[in-house]
Amino acid sequence: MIYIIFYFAILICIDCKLNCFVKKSILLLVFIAFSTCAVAQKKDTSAVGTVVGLVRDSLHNYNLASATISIYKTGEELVKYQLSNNYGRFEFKEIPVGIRLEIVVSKLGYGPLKKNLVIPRTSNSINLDTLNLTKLNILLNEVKISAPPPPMQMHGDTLEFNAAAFKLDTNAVAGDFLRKLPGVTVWTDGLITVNGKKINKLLVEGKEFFSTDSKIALQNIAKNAIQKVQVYQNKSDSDPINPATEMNIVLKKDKKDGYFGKIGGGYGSDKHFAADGMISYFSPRTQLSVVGASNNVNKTAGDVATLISYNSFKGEGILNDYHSDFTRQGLNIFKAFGLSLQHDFNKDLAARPEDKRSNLLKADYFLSDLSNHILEKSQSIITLGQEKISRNNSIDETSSNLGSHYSGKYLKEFEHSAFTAEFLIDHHSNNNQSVQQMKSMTNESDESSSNSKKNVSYTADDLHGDLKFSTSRYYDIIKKDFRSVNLTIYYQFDLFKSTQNQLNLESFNASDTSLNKYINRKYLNNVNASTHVLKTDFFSLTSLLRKPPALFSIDFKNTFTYSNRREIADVADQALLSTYYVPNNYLTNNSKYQVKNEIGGLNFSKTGRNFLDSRYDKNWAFNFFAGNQFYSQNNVSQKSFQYIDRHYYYFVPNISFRYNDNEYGDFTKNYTVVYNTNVVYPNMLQIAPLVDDANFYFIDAGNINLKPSYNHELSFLYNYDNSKAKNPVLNNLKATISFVDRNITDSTFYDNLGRSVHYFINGAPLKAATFYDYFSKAIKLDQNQIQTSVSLSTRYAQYNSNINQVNYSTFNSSLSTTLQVSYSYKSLLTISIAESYYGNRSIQKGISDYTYYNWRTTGGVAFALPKGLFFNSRVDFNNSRSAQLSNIYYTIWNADIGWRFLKGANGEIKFSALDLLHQNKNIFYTINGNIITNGSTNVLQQYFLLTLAYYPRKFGLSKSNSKKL
Amino acid sequence: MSTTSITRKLLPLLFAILFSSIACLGQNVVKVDTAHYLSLRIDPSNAMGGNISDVFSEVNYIPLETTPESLFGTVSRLSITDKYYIILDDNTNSVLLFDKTGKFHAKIKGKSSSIADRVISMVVNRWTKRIICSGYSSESTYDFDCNLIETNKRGPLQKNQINLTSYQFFSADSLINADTFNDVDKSSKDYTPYSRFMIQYATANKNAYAAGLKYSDSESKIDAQGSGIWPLTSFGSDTSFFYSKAYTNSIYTITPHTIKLSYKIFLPLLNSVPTDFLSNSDYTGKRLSYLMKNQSEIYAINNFYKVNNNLLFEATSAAPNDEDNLVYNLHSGNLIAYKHIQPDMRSFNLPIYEKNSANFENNGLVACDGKYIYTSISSLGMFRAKDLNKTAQIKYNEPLTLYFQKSTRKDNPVLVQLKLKDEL
Repeated sequence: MIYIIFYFAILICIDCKLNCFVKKSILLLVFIAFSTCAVAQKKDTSAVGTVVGLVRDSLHNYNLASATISIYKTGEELVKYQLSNNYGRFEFKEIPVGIRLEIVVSKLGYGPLKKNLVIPRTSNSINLDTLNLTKLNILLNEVKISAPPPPMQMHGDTLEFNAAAFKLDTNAVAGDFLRKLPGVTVWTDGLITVNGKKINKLLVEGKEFFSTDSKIALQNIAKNAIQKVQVYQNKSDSDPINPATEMNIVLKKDKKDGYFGKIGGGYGSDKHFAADGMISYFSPRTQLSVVGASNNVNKTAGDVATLISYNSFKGEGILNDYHSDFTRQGLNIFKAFGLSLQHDFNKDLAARPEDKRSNLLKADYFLSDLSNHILEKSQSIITLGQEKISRNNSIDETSSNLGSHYSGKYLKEFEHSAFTAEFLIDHHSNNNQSVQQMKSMTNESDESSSNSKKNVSYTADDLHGDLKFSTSRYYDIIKKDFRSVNLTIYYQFDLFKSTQNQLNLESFNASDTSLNKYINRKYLNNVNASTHVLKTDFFSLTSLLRKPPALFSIDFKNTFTYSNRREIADVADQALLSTYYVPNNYLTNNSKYQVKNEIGGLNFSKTGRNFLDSRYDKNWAFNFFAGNQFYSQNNVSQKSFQYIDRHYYYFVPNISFRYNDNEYGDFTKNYTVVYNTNVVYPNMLQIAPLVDDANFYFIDAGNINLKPSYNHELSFLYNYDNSKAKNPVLNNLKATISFVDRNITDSTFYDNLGRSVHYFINGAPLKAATFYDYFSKAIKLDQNQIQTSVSLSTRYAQYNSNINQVNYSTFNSSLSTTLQVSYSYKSLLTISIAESYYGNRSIQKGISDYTYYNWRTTGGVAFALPKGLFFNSRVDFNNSRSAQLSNIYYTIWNADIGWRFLKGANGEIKFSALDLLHQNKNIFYTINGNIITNGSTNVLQQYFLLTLAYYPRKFGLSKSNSKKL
Repeated sequence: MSTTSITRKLLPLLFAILFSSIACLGQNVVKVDTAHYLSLRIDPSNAMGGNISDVFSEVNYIPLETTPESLFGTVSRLSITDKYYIILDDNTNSVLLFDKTGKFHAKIKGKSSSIADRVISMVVNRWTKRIICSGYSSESTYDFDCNLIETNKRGPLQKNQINLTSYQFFSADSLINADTFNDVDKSSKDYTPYSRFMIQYATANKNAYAAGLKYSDSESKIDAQGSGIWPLTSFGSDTSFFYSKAYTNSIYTITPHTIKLSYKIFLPLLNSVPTDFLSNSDYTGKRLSYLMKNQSEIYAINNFYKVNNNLLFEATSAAPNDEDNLVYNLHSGNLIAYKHIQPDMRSFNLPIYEKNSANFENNGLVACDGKYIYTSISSLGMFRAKDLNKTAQIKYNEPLTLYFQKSTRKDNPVLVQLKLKDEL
């Protein structure tokens, strides 16, 4: 027993050290805060003066470090501010000379001090000597001085920015405020970094604001509703060495509730219209949002949060996502309605976000209706060695998609455990009418054609649920013993039901008329499927043994999946020369398919750390999962050839190694190497499908001998950030090589009429390599910010496939790269230029060598005066080339000009001109082995739209009540 | 060897023999003298600052030689002998010996990768010139040249043997151990007559022969916390130590034969834990979370030292602050906040503690030898301070000049040796 007690004592010791590490990281943040001193707010030619001084508590005889010293021009215009250094000293440079200034010194726990000063033009410098502050508990009432809040201050281990100290226009939002803060970079993709360190979470009053998408908070919350912004490190982060940095927006006491929204509509040329509506209410406990949209200008959204984000008060500009999507195929009418509710049951609302235990309910409802009409024409060339098949295809398709989506989530955290319940109910219905004509020609001038008319109605209901319960092992300091276990139990289910009604009218005509065919076929397919997943992970089994820690930490991980799919297909053909339908005995079927999949095994992990205080922290983690997969598939059907009962066992190991090097003040680098294996099992459609002969040109046959493919993947990841406040640099790299044994590949047989029969075979191994790198850098100069980014992505793959029973090697390579530069001045002007290149080459040795290149240049400018005029324009030059097909050039030019009116800029009138040059052609290229296709579809083209919108918003609903009180 | 020193060395032994012989007869309890203690009223928020030359008569920076062998992270524990500074470094889990000029002497290489083999405590026996490094699975003894003398595997304790948690030798083979609160009752097989005592007297082979400061059943469930040098501190005397009792702000002086309540610290209501914090069972298991919520409340007195007329200690609360390390002058009653002492020419404008670094927050003033107090500053901190001094044209002394010439920001920390003025 004593033996064990001593072990606990050691662990307590280690635990204490862990706390120390947390303390260290927090202090590092503080250090960074000091290095952000003196940030210029305004350029001024007379700004050549220097102000130096010392902040002191004379009564207690010491100098005050990290006091905030702010210099204002008359009229409370903030000129510069900084924190006093470790010795209480401060030194300002580039301060206007010869004019009256006011210096305000403040520090938490002390009364502020104000002093007027003029920097003499003769010397251009002034020494204020000692500025004495007095502690608040000593300060007498009569000498209390009111002063503006300091722009920046340290509050314990939290860095705080007070909104009141930053003068922005009355309609500024949270995003505008953050852009003004020193060390804070709001990146074009929405990422926020503070001194180069990524903000993992943006919270408002300690909670997510409507969604994980920070844009909703950044673009809607009025800057005037914000009291302060806090930046801190999450102490409860599972990685105490490098804890996540979070940002919390604290609202003013009387602005803790409010609403914001938009109601707008526009009408334009060619009967184009767009209408949006959103109203969102928030209070300390509840967030509720109702949102709707309807348009025929290709503005769509997939969920409530996206739609809320699209209707943001400051959502306009070139970086806004809610533009007409000119690449979308066809003409689309989109209607959507959504509802989002979040309620916090937490008793202690005032707790700091990192100390809070969640007790949160979230529910969403989203209804969408997308009507779509596509007219597509395409030409394909299929190369078969000496022979070629040309294929022309035209489709006229009309569809309507109605989807309703309910989701809910409840999260409850306890001291040593957590419970999460999620559900998702999805209803989807689709009606689709299509007419397709195909014509195929071979070298010998064999011609054939088909006409197809399909009418499909499809409904599906899906109920999906997730239940997760996790406990963590902890040391009971009273009992001096460990309690509980590190355990995660996760259960997931999915119940799915669908019905499909389909009518196909198909005709096939060939030069040999004996091959002509006509089919009039009706389908009724019912599918009932369910999936259950039980995941049980026991972590750190070795710690339960109460023995000295083993060489490796051992976990037991197991995931069992059971899925069951029952499908009843009733298919009938119209009898010849009759209006009656007779059952198609081949396609009519009743089948049951079951899969049992278990992946389990022991996981061995080991971590190491090498650190020297104030120098570096290098840590590594090794993980080896000895996974064993037992997989069985069983299919019972009315067709004897579909009786399948297969059982497999594979060893599916996963090995990873991560190395993190944090050189304090210099950089942080992460290296990760992962080797992963997985098995892809052929499904019933690949093994033994019922072949529908109504598809004349593409017959998908099965291969009963098809075996699973075994995939090996080796990845290398590298992340770098330079931890700099002013000019942050980020770099992310990923390189992967993969090897697929028994690769499942195509085998296609073409006849002389251009008809093809496909089935899958196990080919020679697939070898592939990918490389991706993203580098970005921001440069902040006063209110000007330049952000540059370069991305490079390349892929090479080599595999075999069969064409007309001859085996061909296929080599596919692609390269894409984008260079983007954006410049912004305050929140007034944004200019962005991007150049991108995409190239693809596919060689099928002996039969085809296809290339395709695309250059794209985009440029945009957005200009918005705080109250009034705004303008944005975006130009997109496209240049596509292929050796096999003709070159294509087109330019899409869009522009918006608008006016924000009313007191709070709540009113908006906007004129939009889209595709001004009338050049939008949705032209596409695809290369797939020996087939190259180019085509075009009908797309949204030039239109003009006049829109009126009103943005109702109010922060602080109970303001009048609180005043009365 | 003088007669006094012989007496000093023999006395504890005599007491040990005396106690041991009595021990055969049963439990030996050292009575706690609580009759004459000094009440100190401390208001950290009103602690004064000052310049280094106002508070210290001597400031010495001792750069610790950096070689590939001697490279280490932080001074987590420091023992001072006649010839060496003996440092336990948590970062590399090594024990390093430097001579009094900072020259590297020898090293006990830690095994930081394995928790089982980590050195978690280092105690120096000045009489036998031995370093005892305790780890989870074993206890090793080294000489001052870092030669391994012996390694003992940890096993079940024998009757009357105690588990050493925080201890100090007061003679070649006698020690004082400060135990943690343990919920071990009489029915437990691990119960010994000395289980329920905070202070235990034992021989070097852990055989307890006397104890003092008994704690109650309710106190046995205390989740006591401390940090830094705690709860038993040495302040330059071979036979006298301070013991700081958790949550009571009480400092006891422990000698080989007496336990005396010496100081009781009274804090402002705003900074005090509730008066019944130790005894009220409602707090059982909730004390840590209470302290995390009430971060201004001082829950422990750590790193307690006495140098002549001055007491030094850390008034620890959950949130580090600038008034947590304090100097209290027993003559004048003046209170000085260590972190508010400003560098001046006595320290070549170099700091005496490193702000915004984990080093001082985690370890504080690491040692006191009765004449000097000790802390350390990272080379990064030293060079940053030198950069700030660029315009001030400071003329550094020879060791510092050499240090700034030959070292880099990534070199070993620099030991800071400070001598307090007697009258403050």
